[in-house]
Amino acid sequence: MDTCAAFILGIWLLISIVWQFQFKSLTTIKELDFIGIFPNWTFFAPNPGTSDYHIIYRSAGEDTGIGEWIEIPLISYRTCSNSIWNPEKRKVKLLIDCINALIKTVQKCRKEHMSELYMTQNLCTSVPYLLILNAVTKFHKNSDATNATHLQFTLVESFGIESTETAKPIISSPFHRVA
Amino acid sequence: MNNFEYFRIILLLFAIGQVFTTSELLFLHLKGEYSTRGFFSWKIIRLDINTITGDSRIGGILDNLLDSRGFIKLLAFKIVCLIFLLVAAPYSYLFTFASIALVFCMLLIQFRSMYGGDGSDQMSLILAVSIFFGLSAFSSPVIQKYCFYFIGLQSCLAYTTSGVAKILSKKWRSGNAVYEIFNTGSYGNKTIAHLLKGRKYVNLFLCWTVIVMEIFFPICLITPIYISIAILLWGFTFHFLNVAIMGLNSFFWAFTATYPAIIFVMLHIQSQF
Repeated sequence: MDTCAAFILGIWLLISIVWQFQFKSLTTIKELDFIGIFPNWTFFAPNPGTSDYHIIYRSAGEDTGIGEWIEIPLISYRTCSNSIWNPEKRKVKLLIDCINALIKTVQKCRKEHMSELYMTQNLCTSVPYLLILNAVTKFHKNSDATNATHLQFTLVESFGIESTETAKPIISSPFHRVA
Repeated sequence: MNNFEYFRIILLLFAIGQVFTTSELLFLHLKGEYSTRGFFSWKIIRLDINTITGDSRIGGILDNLLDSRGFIKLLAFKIVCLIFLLVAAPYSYLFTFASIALVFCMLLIQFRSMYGGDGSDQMSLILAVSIFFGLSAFSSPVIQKYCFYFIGLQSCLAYTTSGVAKILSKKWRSGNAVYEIFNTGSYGNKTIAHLLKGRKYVNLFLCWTVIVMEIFFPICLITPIYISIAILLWGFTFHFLNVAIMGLNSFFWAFTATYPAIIFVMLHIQSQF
């Protein structure tokens, strides 16, 4: 048992050390670690998250036309209670992970000189995109929904509480039919 | 302190952290965020692994375990395992079973959290596996020593990597990073951001303190005891402030739970010379 434990923990530590390097050749191997057993300990670096991401959406219906943009409230300002117990942080992290993945997909498509149509297809069928679309649909259905037939969302980046810089859109979806 | 006492403190801090994490996941589940229409819909997330599992048996098992109904059972089972870890006698078969079951639960939950998971989950997994090896029926003092080294070195690796990544960043070197992070709604704090606004030297000091302390954190393993304790106290304060200002509660428990292992390694290294 001693040898078995030494082997498992030793290999785990060794791979964890290698995992910290950002070699291009490691990227494909790293993607195979679905579970995330091997950590990447670069918290808030080298690019610290200095902006907030928001999901806004609007609905469209045959009778109502195109509606106003509505923000899905995700960011809650820090209070004593949500410092200690903070379930909502996972939703914020999910949005950050999804946006980072979408940006990566766009960069990859551009690098491979894909056409706009093919890139849009790639984006719209990716898991991060579908997760956001799913969240938008759920939020819309739970709100005082009008009889909308289509939904469109936009991911927006803003630059902090004290910032005067205008928020900018990152990705805008086409209108999707609501089931 | 003997090995067992070090492990008891690690186990206690780990368990408190896991109670917070699991209750947060339960809360999100009750809000329907793990349902098909929720933020963490398994039906969508599983598309990422469809090419591997397809309609195979593994895919079916994962569907049963990780869809909305399965996930709540998994969380409930994790809580039961945590209770057994705290009440069962270490080195017993019951403890062994509870700890290995907990590891499997955590692996599945981490797999489910491929979007929305964070580094504290990974450190918690490291702790859970070490607790299994260190306090199971098959454990020995030698294995316990390996576990302390494993936890301690993973913790040191985390701090150093994070510090090196920060020193490579222009935003951290220029002293803007701390203010800009605290200025966000996601990880910041309105009051602190307002206090730091325009205070260039305070921001510079904060950024460089984090960079230097993180890079040189592992030296606590070899420095005289009072310097090592001071470094650990800095770490404790750092994580405490991250809870208060940034809401990173799970990191506090996961990382401070590694400190008893660091103290063990530190004393063990010093006893060799």
